[in-house]
Amino acid sequence: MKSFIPYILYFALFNMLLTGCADSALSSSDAGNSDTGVAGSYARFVTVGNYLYIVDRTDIQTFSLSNPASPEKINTQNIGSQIESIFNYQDKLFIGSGSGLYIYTIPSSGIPEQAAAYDYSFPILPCDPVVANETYAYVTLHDADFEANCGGFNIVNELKIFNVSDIYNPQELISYPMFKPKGVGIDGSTLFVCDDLDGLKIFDVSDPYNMVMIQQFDSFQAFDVIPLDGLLLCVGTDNIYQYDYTDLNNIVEISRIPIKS
Amino acid sequence: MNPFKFLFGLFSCILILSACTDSSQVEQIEIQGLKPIYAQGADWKEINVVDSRDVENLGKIYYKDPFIYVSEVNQGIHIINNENPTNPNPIKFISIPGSKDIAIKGDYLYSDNITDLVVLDIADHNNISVVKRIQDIYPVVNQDFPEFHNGYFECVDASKGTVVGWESALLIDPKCIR
Repeated sequence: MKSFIPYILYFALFNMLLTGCADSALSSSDAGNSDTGVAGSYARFVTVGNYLYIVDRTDIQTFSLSNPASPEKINTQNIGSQIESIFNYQDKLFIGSGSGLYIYTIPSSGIPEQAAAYDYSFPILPCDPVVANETYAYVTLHDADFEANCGGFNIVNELKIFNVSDIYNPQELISYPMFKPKGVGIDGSTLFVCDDLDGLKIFDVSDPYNMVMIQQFDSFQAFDVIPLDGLLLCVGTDNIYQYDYTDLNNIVEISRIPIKS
Repeated sequence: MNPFKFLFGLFSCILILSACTDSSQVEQIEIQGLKPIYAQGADWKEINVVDSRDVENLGKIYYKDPFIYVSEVNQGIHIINNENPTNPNPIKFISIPGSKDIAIKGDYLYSDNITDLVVLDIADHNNISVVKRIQDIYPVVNQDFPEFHNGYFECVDASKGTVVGWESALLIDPKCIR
């Protein structure tokens, strides 16, 4: 047993070094955020600072945007399989896939470095976007339709909450059953889940172990959301809905953009 | 050749073939699956901007103050002026074959055009232009079947052009499965 101690020390030191690197990149990525927009949770493209990240089914590609009119590919690396989405929070990239949750840091080179790969170890692979903040990552897992990008059939429909305060060691905290959760968005302690035919569900997640539903809009089939500091964009199959959620006790629909199919 | 063997072989063939024909005509099935999206020649590289059109088959959304960019799956991007969120106003549609994703930095919009990454200058919505194309950021689509798909799909008809993608569809009596 004694022989473990040096390893633990090395590991701790290694983590500290990596954390140090990550911190140094924070300022560079923050600087670029003001001219970048906000994507829904199904995004496969994300810009962070002077970099554009693109995930396909298995890989992540890094493009330098030093000249934003002329991106230059600087790196391609393999992540895993069944990659579904990419989400940026500060200097971190959260990558949702059917096989697991991947967390990468963005060092000053811009080329992502893997911090953690959390495997779900399901026998059959679902589809899943992920969003995150400083402390938690929220992952929706739903059974696949006939979607070319997803794994296949399964019977997992749930929201998983991870503690990611140590991105090198994400901890799965709890799962909540859902109907067929798809897009997801987080703003502070308010979580927005698009639960397909169950519509849009809005939760208070101040206590991850006791998530409380604040409101549900179930008159439509919800697909994805973008929370924008009081304004929510929600994509349904028949409309793009906008809600004012500045008052969480009185979330109101303010407009719809119709979708003709 | 032994004529008996030949006749037996021929008979077997007829039996097998007729069995196939019969089974497919017994009843028509309707099932969700994938069908190929075709493009002719280099047509898929054509990117145009038109006045707004109806949103029909919604994909991903992207917000950059005060505009909402909405993907019309495999067809392009709607631009919606959301200066007044109580009255959003669709203003333009950028036709980009195969487009599914959107990202914006400053005046530039990045999207996928089948296998390529395209960069559009969107500083002026009345004068949007393609400023860069980076080829083959995605692998070329398999021309025979949809990869990573288990289930029915519409068989590829090469005379219709090059397969540039697959989309979900209700298939009637599909002949191909994997």
